[in-house]
Amino acid sequence: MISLRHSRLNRVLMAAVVVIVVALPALRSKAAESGTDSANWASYLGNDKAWSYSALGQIDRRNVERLVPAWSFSAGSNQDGLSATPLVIDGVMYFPTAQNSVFALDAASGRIIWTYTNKPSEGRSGPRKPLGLAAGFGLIYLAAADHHLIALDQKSGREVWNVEISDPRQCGCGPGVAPLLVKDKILLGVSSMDTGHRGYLDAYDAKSGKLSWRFWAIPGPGEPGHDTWPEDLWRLGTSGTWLIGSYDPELNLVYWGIGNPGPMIGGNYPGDKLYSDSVVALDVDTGKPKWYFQQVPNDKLDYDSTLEPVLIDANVGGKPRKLLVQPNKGGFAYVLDRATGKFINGYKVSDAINWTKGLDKNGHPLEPRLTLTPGVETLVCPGIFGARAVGHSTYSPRTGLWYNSSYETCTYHTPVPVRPPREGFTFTASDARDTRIPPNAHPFIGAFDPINGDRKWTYPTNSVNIASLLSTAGDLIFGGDIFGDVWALDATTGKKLWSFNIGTGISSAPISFAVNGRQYIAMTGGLSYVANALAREVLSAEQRAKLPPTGAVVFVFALPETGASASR
Amino acid sequence: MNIDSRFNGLFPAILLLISGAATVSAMPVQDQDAAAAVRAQVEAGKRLFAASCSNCHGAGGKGAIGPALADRGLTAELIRGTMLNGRVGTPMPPFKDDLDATSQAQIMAYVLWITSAGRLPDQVISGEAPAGSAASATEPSSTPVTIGAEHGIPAHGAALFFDSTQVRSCRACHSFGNKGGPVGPDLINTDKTPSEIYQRITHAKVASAAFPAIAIELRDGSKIVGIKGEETDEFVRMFDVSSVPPVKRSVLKSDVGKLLVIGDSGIFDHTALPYSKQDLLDLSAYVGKKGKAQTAK
Repeated sequence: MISLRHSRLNRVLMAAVVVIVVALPALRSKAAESGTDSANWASYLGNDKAWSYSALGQIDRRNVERLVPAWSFSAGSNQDGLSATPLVIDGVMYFPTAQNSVFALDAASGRIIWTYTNKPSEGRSGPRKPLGLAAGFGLIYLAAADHHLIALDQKSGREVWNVEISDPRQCGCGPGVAPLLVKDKILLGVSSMDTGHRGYLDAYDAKSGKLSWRFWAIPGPGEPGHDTWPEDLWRLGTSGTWLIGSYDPELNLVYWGIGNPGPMIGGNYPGDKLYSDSVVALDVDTGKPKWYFQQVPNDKLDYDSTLEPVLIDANVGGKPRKLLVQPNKGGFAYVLDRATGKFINGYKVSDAINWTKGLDKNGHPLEPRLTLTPGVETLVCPGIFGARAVGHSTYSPRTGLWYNSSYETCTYHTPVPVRPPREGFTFTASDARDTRIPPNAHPFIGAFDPINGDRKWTYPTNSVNIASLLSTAGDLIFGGDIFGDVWALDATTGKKLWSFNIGTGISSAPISFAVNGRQYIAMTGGLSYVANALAREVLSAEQRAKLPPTGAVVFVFALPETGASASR
Repeated sequence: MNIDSRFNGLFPAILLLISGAATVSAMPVQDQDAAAAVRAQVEAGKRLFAASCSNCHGAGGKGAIGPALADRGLTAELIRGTMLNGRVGTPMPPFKDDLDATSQAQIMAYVLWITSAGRLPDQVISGEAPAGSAASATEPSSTPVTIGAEHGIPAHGAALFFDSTQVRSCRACHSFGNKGGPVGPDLINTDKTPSEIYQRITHAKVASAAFPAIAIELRDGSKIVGIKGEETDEFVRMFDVSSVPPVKRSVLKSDVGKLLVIGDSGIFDHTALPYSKQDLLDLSAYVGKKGKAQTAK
């Protein structure tokens, strides 16, 4: 049985903080809580632990209703919207666009400092657009859609080095959503939207751009796990690494989620197909796997394990443990010991699940699982976008709660005969029709006890909630919806406290930062290609008519200068 | 709770909605045999579409991750051009090298049918693309090519050249037929015979005179060596090939102390690559310019 001392500790902490707030309503910088400098948002998920948490608390539950735009910015072309997560470092905001441009703006005013443009050469764009950047060593790192990793001079925006990782015209692949700086390396996954290819995770020397190591997500001949693949399928068995990982400096391990095997849906290939649908722990210096945990062996329903591995320390059975909590597209979250990979607990983060009745004591799906019969249309829940496909959750060390979105969608699949995989071409064996929110189901954001899975509150979203979540030391959860509302919830109750419509749909990630003692919330707007597809698929005609046009904007909010404490 | 049971009410309604579009309906085609042929082509296209296109464009081309094609009134030219050449700036890949002419025509017929709200094409779509709009699929030959006293098989060489299960395969640096890496010219245009290619990649280090190896001594005293890339008013660019994939460095001209042209002696040791002798013969057979003299029997 699992006991949870950390939540009691957090209540004590919260009480202490409330006292401080009353006495000192200035900016509360809690670098120790987040492990980062709280004024900055220096990595895609805000810290190494994938918390998407800001230790800034100037904006809180009492004053959030007074939040107003401080500035906004139009990033130009609205093709594919703007879903990027900005970085903010020492008062400068950096973000990429879907056209592979990078803007550096004054984070307090929106004024342009520099712009980098890089138009991919003809036909070379991979399937995903850049959603984030990494920063370090005086460089800004961009993973461009044409599968280049590019280092820019942080001060001037000029290109310093540029690595062509692969040619999307061959593999149909491109980079994962964003590069991640870990120690002296830039880690970057690969994304293919389920074309035939062999997935991998790369680490590049952050200064020189030279490849330090490549972890193949499908073991090659002679490597452990290779025999879990039938025949030659390992060569083109997909297993992408298209989201982003987390990092434990004490264990020197990086955690990364691996995608589904090919074919994406259906097919009749036997074998567990390692490391598809697994989370892996790799030695940062060598890329060698320390452990793996496969969530869905021999997956035939597209249940990637690519979502963010959230690192949380808590007491389990009276002992402090280093844990990893990771949701899967199949609708379950998995709690593992992150030193050993041992399964500790698993629980549902989605209500719309029909592919298995639950998990066994080892964390594997209970058999029999839902199987697809060739030619027979079958409803599969979660559907092809998963319980959640992109975006990320947030963990607040203050409330001790983990906040996660579930789409609650299902897809009708009719298996078709599998064709041999070809590199660069979609590898699936299903004719998918109609992804829908089932009647009686409702997409939601849940506030979970991250270890035992108790859902403390549920916030029903107005449709699929594609955007990511942010928690802050003001005990707020920020997010945004496909109709253009940026909103704040009370982190302890789920009650909506504030919203503002930015005029275009949101599929990005809110962040928080501070400049000169003033806290800001930033959100980019303009639905991405995939978000548009998902939204249009699940919305009724009436709802679709209310979707605002796709733009490409940045909105930054703050409390009015008068009335809020802007003291330093 | 069982989700299937929740769906029971909705399911027949959805089936009813789509059943109208489930089969090809008879539309104004004069001659009955011709109409049957058109229908057969559309039906064949429907099967190919389900397997190759519907993952992005949705079942029936109603749109999913990719845009809807149904009821869009797309022209034959646009469909053919997009299918063959892809769409720049989108995930749509070019299919010209991967679908034979028959399959292309079948998919075109089906897309024409769905995009025109079920109006059958007037005639069977020709498998022949209009001149200049598409290259026919050119599979590398399995016929051995003579290289000195040995033979190489181009098809084997092609697989090695583009082997993306390895970091260090040819395509990491070189392009062939408009696919591959950024260093040097597209090797499909080489004027060297398979024997000449074999000589080059098995002896010493190779570089083209058009892509000389250079060494740049920076003002801070450090030195970098690479294959020269483009030069702008502001930068000298070079490919650092000391690791794979190559790193293209942009060096500010104002940072350059000395630029030395090492010449075309090359700096990348091709002989250090993990290829067997037969692999190198196969690669040479694939890359080298093929004339009648080189084709065995």
